[in-house]
Amino acid sequence: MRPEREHWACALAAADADAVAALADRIRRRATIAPLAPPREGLMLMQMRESVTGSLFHLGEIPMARVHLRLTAPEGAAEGGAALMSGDLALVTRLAILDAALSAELPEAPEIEALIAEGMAVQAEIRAQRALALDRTRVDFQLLSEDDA
Amino acid sequence: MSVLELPRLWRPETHQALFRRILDVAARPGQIADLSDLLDDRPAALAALATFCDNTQTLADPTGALSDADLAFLDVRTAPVEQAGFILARGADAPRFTPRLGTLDAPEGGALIVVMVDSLTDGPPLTLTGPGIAAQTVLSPGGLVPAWLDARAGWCADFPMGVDLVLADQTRLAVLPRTAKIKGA
Repeated sequence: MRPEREHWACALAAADADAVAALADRIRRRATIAPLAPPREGLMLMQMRESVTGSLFHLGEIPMARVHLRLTAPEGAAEGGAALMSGDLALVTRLAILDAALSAELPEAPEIEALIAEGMAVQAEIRAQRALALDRTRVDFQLLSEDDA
Repeated sequence: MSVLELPRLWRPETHQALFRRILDVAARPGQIADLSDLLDDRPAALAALATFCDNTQTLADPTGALSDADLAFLDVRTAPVEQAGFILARGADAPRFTPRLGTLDAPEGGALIVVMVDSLTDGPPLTLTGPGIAAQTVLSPGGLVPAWLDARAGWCADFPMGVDLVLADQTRLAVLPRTAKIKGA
């Protein structure tokens, strides 16, 4: 089943980078791609809310890239976009192209869906490894009063 | 095949070239910058905004001269005309707003107004004096109603507070900083 669109770019970023690049470049060669806003890459201040008083603070700067474009192919047209914590504008451009191509249901849609599935599997594996690492840091406290009881 | 090719007006190197030319005529009020080789048939007023604006600035377009696509490329936040840092207006229409004038502590908060005119050389002559002008110079904007000069005089009466004007025809522009004194029309 195809995941929600907001997860496509993140999943594709976790898939095999060479396969993503090859597919996006193949689509780009046969389609017309026009930017709808200037592609941006740079540093962005990441704002977080601390959990004690709930006040906002700046955690630090993160690399960020974003692309918004319109893809037009003989089979259809659609807008595509991607924003990623990355300084790799070429990668984010390719993700935006795949986003538009899947949205337009181009013939390459099954290949894009396969890459998304691959990326989501990689993400799930990373999440599982992190959960395991976090679980190893778990500490059980016993209160003296409980021992006494 | 990697990043997208942008239209010329939106490329950083074009903005750098535009900035140099606008800075030169801002330092010499009354002089005219010809931008035609950088515009690809887009209006000089849009080129000025492309140079000045980014996503940290605010822009008001009370006459709706900008298309949605241009606004997306400007990547600027829109704001009411009384609060915007940059304003795009038509010289043929008398201003019916009061722009930001800055404060004594922060006069740089005064708005910069890009006024679209028909021509910079075919209108009634204005005599300019002030910083950046050796003795006096003449600018002849066509399609600028006198109400603009009256309004500017009022907005700039309490220097250093005030506004800066950029007059732009299709391919050229001139700058009237708040320091310039204008007689005529």
